[in-house]
Amino acid sequence: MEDKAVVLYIDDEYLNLSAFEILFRNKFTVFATHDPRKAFEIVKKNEVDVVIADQKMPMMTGVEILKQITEINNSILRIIHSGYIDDPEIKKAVDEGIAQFILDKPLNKIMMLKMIDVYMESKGSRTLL
Amino acid sequence: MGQDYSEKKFSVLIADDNQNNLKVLSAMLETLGYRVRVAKSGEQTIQSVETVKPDIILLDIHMPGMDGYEVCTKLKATEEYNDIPVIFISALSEVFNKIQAFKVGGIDYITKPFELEEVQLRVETHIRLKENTLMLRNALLELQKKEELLVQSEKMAALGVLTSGIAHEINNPVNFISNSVSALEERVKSIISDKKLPDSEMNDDFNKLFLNVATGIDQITKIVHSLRLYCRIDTDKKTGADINNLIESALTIMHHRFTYRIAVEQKFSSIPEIKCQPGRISQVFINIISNSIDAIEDAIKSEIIKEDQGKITISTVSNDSHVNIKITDNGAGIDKSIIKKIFDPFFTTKAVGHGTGLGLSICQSIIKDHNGSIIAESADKNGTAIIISIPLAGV
Repeated sequence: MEDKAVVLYIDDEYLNLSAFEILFRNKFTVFATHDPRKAFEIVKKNEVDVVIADQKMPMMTGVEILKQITEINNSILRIIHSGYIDDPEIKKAVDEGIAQFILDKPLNKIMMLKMIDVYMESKGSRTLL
Repeated sequence: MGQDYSEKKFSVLIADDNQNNLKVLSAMLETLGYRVRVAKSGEQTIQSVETVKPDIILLDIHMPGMDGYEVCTKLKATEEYNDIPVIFISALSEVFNKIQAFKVGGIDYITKPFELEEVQLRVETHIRLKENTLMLRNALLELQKKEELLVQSEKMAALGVLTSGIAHEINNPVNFISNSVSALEERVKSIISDKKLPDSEMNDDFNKLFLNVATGIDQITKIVHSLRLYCRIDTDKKTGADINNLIESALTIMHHRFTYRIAVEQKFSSIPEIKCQPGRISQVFINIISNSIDAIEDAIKSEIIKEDQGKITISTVSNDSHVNIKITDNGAGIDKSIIKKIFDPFFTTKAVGHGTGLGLSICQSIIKDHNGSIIAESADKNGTAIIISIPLAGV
């Protein structure tokens, strides 16, 4: 694959970041950070395709981060990653379109790859048009 | 507390060996609307009470056989009957020991010849007093029940904090273990299919991934260990426990709330085991540490401290008689005007729906149950210290 998708992963646990980066660095260009401000900077400076944010983090929830990211660039695929998919904040975010998908935690790799694949394909066909 | 007595017909038992007195009093009280029963001796009085419990008793002192004092003593000694008000009847001419009458449990006395209005007022007053006492007692019981429910709900809230903490603390390592294993699998498969030894980059990955897995397993093991403690959160069983361990377990369970923003400094000195209720003592630590985290988050939000400057210091020391635990944070602090109230039940500075306002009050009662003390020191906007002292002798 020539054009690797650019994926930004935000999680407050360092080991989650490291495992994610090593696992996916061959498939995607991976940015991984625990710091919401760094995440916003990355989105501003790079052509990010997908952002995956852990929901339960100190200071800012994943939903809050995704909301700010839509204001910077709303064409990015936004996925919330959480062990508590019943969280009302998440449901509301999906209803309002702040998050487009929910990924259960621990991560279902196949599900995530499928989401990114479908998105990249649709994005590619849109660019072709 | 108004109650309408007009509907209810109260019963009066009159005990007197003098037929004449019985007639006069019966007639009097029936006119006033009371249901009246009579007894002609001490023994008959007891029998009558045992058959149907009256609301009030008018009791003559001088009766053949069992006298009034004896009857009253016996009734007051029986739990079922000791709430019946007893008014003694005495003739002015008789030898009447008022002190003894009160000592055996009489509530009042009336003297012959009877005055209608006096009898009426005294009987009414004492029935009303008894009814009010009953109502107060019931109200008190209700309140106690409600308090128990609230204490229970605070316990459930503490359990809620615990379980969601545990879920997060276990889910997190499971997530990075699972991703790391996935990455290991991919690499091992590629080595097998390429029949090529890993290059230095892959070696590097292997080191990181195995470290991830080992760290994750270590984290989960720690959590499972601390869980054994919280199985006992709801029991009052006393066992020997190391306070340092209890604090470490609380910190493990709450790890996800610290992350990189809050540094925790543990200044533990070696302290002897104390006999205590470990689950309940842990509830105290969770509560206080949780408050510290809230205070630090407040301080960061209102820019009193910088985002990564949160700090909680926990020290333990023991002397000849006590273990002293000090939990200090550099959070928003407690205003002077309210610091005295923080241990009061239902006092809270948190928004409605966040906390019952019972947390610290329950902490205080748990520490008091251990014959210890808990105090708070704070300067506004300059952190808080909670100081707990528990006797080594335990409970």
